[in-house]
Formats: sequence, structure tokens, C-alpha cells
Amino acid sequence: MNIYKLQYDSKAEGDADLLAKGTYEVITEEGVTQDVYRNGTQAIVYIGQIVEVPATYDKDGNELTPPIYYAGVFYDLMTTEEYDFGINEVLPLNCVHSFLGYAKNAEGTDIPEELTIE
Amino acid sequence: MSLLDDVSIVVTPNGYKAGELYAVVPVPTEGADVVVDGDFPLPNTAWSLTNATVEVNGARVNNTIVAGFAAFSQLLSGTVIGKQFVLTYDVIATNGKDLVLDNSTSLFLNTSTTGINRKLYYTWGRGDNYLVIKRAVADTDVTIDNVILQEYTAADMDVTRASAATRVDENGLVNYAEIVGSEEVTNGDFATDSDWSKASNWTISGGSASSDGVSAISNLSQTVVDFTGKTFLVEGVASNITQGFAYISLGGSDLQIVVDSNGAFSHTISISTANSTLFISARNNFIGSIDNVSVKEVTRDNVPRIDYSGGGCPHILAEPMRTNLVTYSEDFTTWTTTGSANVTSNTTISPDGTQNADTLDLLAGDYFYKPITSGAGTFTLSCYVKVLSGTLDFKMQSFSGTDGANASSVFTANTNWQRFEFTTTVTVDSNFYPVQVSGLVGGDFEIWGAQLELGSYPTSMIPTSGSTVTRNQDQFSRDGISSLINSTEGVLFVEMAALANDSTNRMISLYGSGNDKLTLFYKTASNSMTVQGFVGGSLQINRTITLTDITQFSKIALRYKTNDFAWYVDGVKKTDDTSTNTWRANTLTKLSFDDGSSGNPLYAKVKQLKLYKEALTNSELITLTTI
Repeated sequence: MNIYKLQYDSKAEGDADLLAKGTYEVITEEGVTQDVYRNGTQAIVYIGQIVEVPATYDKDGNELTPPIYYAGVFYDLMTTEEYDFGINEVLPLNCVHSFLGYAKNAEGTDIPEELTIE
Repeated sequence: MSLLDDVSIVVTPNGYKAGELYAVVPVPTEGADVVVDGDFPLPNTAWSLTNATVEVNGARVNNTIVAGFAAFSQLLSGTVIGKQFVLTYDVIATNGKDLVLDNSTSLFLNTSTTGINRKLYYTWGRGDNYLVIKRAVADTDVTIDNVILQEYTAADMDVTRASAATRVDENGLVNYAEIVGSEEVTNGDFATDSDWSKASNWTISGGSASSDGVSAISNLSQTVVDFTGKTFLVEGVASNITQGFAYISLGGSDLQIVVDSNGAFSHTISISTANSTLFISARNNFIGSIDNVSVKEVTRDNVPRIDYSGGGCPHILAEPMRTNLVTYSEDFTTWTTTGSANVTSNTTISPDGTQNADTLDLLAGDYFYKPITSGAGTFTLSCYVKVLSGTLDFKMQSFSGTDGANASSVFTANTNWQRFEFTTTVTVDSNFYPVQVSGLVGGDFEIWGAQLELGSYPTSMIPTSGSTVTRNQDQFSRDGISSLINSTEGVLFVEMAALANDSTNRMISLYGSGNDKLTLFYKTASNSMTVQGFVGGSLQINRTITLTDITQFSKIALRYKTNDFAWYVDGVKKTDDTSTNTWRANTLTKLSFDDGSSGNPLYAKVKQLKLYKEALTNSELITLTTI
């Protein structure tokens, strides 16, 4: 199984690139438009923005200082196929998202299942 | 006639393996051989050859001399399109390359080594009757013999999820759906002093292995199986520990299991390092004994979930992809607390059967929450909550400076674990409160398994430990079963319940193509269901009904036949149609928990599914669907 971690300037750009690469298809049936995975795609997870510096809050939960985000938005793609995402592929050291059963920092091709002790 | 006499497919929560849910009916059978001269007699008259030869010992595919395409093929008689087959073959000689079946997709024959009676199961994907066996890559030189092609009749459903997933088991515990393999350790009970490599301070006697503590580090080991890329259940019993500890390691360099106390131990561990040695390593001058060591491979990806939530008979669970945005679902010490609010770790046996639930001491005026980068959307927060005695009231809540507080109604926790849920809509990143006692009394709550997911209803538990985690969508389908589907008439019966009344289309289909399909689906309108039958692209059946509550189990039967469509639910005819066409024979070839082409997947709990090859009578449909 292959897992790609991807960064784009915007969700529109990311969606368009993933669509162009054939990872999914947009279909409309019964008046409902939906994204359907194609060509070995197992999951496309839109992570959105990732916090670099967390927000701070007062005792009642009101935000005191806002979070600082990394630039752009992020996706995780799980697929049986191999792709070249060029500069959009990133290799984070401490990932914020994983797939159930896979290591948190799993990225690349032929990913084994998770290293955990329960 | 019994209602089981004419049934061609029965799928229930029954046997399964990774990637497959076994059907109860039919019993898998292999038909007659449809290949002529599969033993390649000379002179050859039955096979067409390109860069291939029929020789004394079989058919040789060879493109090492003349580069390029190399294959042998045969035009089969009879109907093959839309059917499943099993291809059996012997590999007589090989230069290490695989052959491939020229289907709609690449289906590889395992010809990299010699061997006999190898099998390949597949659904015919070509649009014609040619069986083509060809080279997969350049420089292939492979000879195979005794090729047999038989129709394979079975309705076992392919299951795809490509991630682990949890369910509620028959004991009411939350755990992973998994397949546990056979024992890999030899003499794990140390019945004899054999099979293990021992350092000098290890002894095997009296039915256990003991370390005397003389050496700071010493190993007891056994070559077991290649661990690489696999997950294993490691179990054993420790006793008489008075000093140090033991590491148990599969391969030596991956994560190690620490055994430092007496009693049984059980861990699931996944291995990336290429190694096949099981080590029991005495550390810090370990003095103690180990017994009943067991290592079994565990598979979790693509394992169908037989779920017992709700009690009673189990169901097949088909859920959408969801991500748990809570990064520590079982460790609440990382959550934000205010005032005197306090979390104590691992105080209570949790719904997964281990002591990993926390105690939250929370009084009115104090808060306990998690800031989450949720963005905007409708989210469902869920958490298991109980108390040690009596009852305690609490709420669940979201809060942000933009949206303010959105709290649930009051829930009451008692001494039994219950999973509470709260759906809320936010417009910005927000704080989420699984237990909130503002305006209430508060007290000590036992908590476990927090989950925040984008969606209007909760799904099964997704454990997290340091990141958000995604469980992929469940997919069920079986193609190539035209012989089990009577396209001209029949009955589709299913007992199921939707996961939610959430205004989406969720389908079960009998499918031949986009123009030929019968779909039964939960529809976008509240508590509604629709049946549509497209015949040659023409909409022949199109009926919608409303049920009281689609999240409750219903027994649903559709009868389709030319000018005779009827739809029964729970013993009552809901609608019929006497001016319908149906399909030509062998048109419908696939049963799928979606629209047939991966769209509109079914998210539901399915207790049983049956397909009949005959249009049952009204009275039979009443009997079939009566609760």
C-alpha cells in the first residue's frame, strides 16, 4: 500500500490535482454529486490546515492567541498506485494524521502496518 | 416448497477471512473444464501461439530470443463473460518470471517457481471468449502444463477497507476485527529442552524457561517465521520474577515487549524489520520464568466486521470513511483542564476489556476540553462514560469565541459503560467537551474512547494515540455471478438498517452495466427508500416508499419479473407495478453494496441478504418479510 502526504496552496488546487491524476471521479447520480475513488485509491483524507504553534486559551476556553498554521492545506492519500506529485509531496517528521493500523509517520510506497505495542 | 429451495445466494454474518465474507449459499463448486487440450498434446491443434511453442512437457512462452509479445490462446465455447473461473496449472520450467492472464486487468499466474496444481480465481473480464496466457515482462521463459479452466460458482463477497477497524464483539467489548493465524512457536510450553537456543544462564525444565540472573543480558531465541511487514499477537505467562525484566522481541530491533511482572501477558505488535527470530532477552540480570509463549499472525486490513452492538443477532457493519480528530482517544491527561478539574490515568477497566479508562474529577465551574482544528462543519462528538456508583448528570458541548457554546441536553451516566453522542455544527476551529457540568453538580466520571468525527452521526470507535486517525470505507461486492442471478425474474431480499437518516443515497445493486441494474437504496428524503430498475438504459422500475425509521431493522423483498414487480417490507406490500420489463438472461452479473460502480456506497447494518432465482408469490414474500 502507498501513502502520500501532500501539500497545496488551497483546497481547490489540491482537489484539482488529485482529480487530474485520476485518484477520484466526480459523478452525479440521483441529483447527488459525489466523489468516487478510482484507480486503486483507498482513501483521500483532506486534513486542511495544520497547526504549527497552538492557540492559547483562558480558563473558560476563550482563545487568547490564535494558532499559527503551516502554509497551505494538506491531504493524505492511500492508494495501490504510484504517483509523482512533485513539489506537492511532503515528508513530515511528525505527522498529525495516520490510517488505522498504520504507523503515524508512514509515508511512501509499500507501507507496512503499524509498529505498536498495545 | 421451502423458501430455501430456490435461493441462489445467502449472505449472513457468518464465516470470513481478510478480504472475503463467505456466503452461506451457494457452496462453492467448480464446473467442467472449458479448455480443450489443456495438457498440450502433440501435434497442437487447439492453441494459437505467438512466440510460444507446444512441447513434450507443456506450453512454453519464450520471448528471450525474439523480443516482444509472447502468448498462447484459445477461443472458448459457451458463455464465459460475467462468470467467475478458477484456472489450475502446473509450472514445469521457469526462468523466474510470472505469466499473466490477458483479462481486463492484469491477473498474474505464479510462475516464478516450479510447482503443480496452482490456482488463480478471477472474474472473466474480457469482452470476448479468448483465454490468453502471456508474458508479463521481457525475457520470460516459462513452461506450464495441465491448464484447466472451470467455472467457479460462489457468492463470497470481496471486502475492501485497507485499514483496520473496530467493532463490538459477542461479549460487548470494543476490539479490532481481526484474523488470528496459527501458532508459529515450536515448544512454546517448554515441555522439552529443545527447539530453543539458550544462553548459559537460561534453563528449560519443569515446563518453563528460567533465567538465573547471572548475566546482565542473555537471550533465549528461536527462528520462527519472517516477521517483516506483519502484525503478531504475542502471549505468554511470567512467574517467579524477583529481579530485572525480560524483553520479548520479534526480530530483535523493533519495539520490544517488556515483561517485568508475574502473570499472563498479551500484546499485538507489528514488525517492519526483516528478521525471523523470536528473542526472549533477560535484562538487568533478570531472574524469573517464562512459559506458554505464543506468537500468531494477526490480520486487520480488509477484515469484515461482524458487529454485535445493540445486542441480539449480529450484523455486517458497512461504514463510511471517518477520521477521529481527537488525537488521544484513550489518554485524557493531555486534555485541557481548568480549576480543580483533574484526570487520573488507567483507573478502570474500559469497554475494550483492559484497564485503560481514566477518571475525570470535574465539578461545576471547572472545565475539561480539547481544542481541535476542526474547521467548519457538522461534527459528532462521542465518548464512553460511566460512574463508580449511583448516577451523575453531564452535558457534551462545543465552544468557540465565534460560535459561542452549543451544549447537548443533559445525559445521565450510571455504573454501566454507555457511549454518549452529541452532534454540533461549528463555523471555526472549536473546543470540544465530552463531559461538561456547567449548571450541574459534577463529580468523578470514568471516561474512555473519545471521538470527534465530521458527520451527523457517530461511527465505530477509531482509537488514536498521538495523531488524528482515519478508518477507510467498507466496500462489499461480488462480480462474475451471472449464473447465480436470474436476470429475467427473481427476488432480492435483505434485512438491514441504515446507520442514519442523513439524506444521502446508499445503495445495494444487482448490476450488469450502467444501463442494466437494479438498485435498492436509502434515499435523500427523510426515511425514504427507492427501487430503480434500468433495462437497456430505460428506467423500467422507479418506486419510492417511506418507512417509519430507516435506522431500525427492516426485512425488505423485491420481486422482479416482466410486468410483475412488487415490493414488500416487514410483511406488507408497499407498492407494485404490472408494466415493467426485466433483463435478458445473464445480463446482471454483480452483487454490490453500492450502485455497482463504487458510487453511493451502502452504509448500513446488514443481518441477511438472499437472492432467489424465481419470482416468489405474494404469500411467500409476506412470509419472507414477516418479523
